[in-house]
Amino acid sequence: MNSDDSRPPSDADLDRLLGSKLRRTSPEFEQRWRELRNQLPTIRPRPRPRTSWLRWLLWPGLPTLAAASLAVVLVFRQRPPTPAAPGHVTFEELIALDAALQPARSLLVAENRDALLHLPAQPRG
Amino acid sequence: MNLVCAFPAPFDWLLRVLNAAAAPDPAPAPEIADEDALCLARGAAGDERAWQELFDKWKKPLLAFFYRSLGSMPEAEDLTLEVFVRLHRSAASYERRAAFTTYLFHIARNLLLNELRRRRRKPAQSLPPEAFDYIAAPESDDARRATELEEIFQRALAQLPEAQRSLLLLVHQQDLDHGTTAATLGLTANALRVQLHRARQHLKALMQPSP
Repeated sequence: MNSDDSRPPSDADLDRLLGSKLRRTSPEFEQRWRELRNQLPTIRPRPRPRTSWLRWLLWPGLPTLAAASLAVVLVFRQRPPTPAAPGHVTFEELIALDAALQPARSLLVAENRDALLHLPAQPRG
Repeated sequence: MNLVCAFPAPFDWLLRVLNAAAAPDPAPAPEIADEDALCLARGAAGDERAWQELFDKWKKPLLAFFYRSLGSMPEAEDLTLEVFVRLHRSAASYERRAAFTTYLFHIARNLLLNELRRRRRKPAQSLPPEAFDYIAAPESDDARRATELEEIFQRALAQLPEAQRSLLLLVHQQDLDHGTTAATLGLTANALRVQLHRARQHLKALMQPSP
């Protein structure tokens, strides 16, 4: 390779290379084509795709889907915790409770509560 | 009806489906009457001569496209024949809303991408440069230079990303107009111009002799 061969390609070189067309095809290739051409009628054509099937599927399907989704959401949504229901309390139990709280009843009077709050607290000596 | 604001963001997919289903059928695009499309229609109707005409017209452009893309003539021949099988299969459903060349090279490029995905490239089995039509007199300096350039060119093409290579080949080798090329490759006209310039610069850079 002489020094000229290593020069970078010019734009004209590039255009010529990119635009180059094939001169001829091989006899083997032509033979393969003839065989293929004879087989073409036996190749099943692809059926024409239907474009409107989606909307036929969608319109009856969507309300059903929406209702099903709503049902799923309603069934599985998290419920807020409910307070525990009070148990049954008998009248005798209430009386007993009242009796137990009797000694502390004086504390319920506001005057006594205030007085107690202002008692000086002395540590036991 | 356009359902836009009725659904919160997580239901975007549902909104899109509803809008797609609610949209009226697009108006049919005008049919493009090109000679090849008519030939394909004849072929679909059972006219065997139509297939021969299409083959005679497009075999060399397709072979050249695949050869330049893959660097192997046996593979190029396989894919060219496969294009005609695909054309035959889809001929009945072909709607003349785009140029035939767009349709043809769309098929060709899909096959090419499948091939590139299917296997890693084999070492190129180069054709002699005489196979192409630009070679000057044999044994001349020009011929030697052309041989050298042909090897450098094919090697550089193999290093280009597929999108750039296909773009260059469709525009410069197949002489497709920019509109047809853009439609085939899914580009806008502006993007095509930019990409074409970049691809050409990239190819030239790859063909520069290494220091």
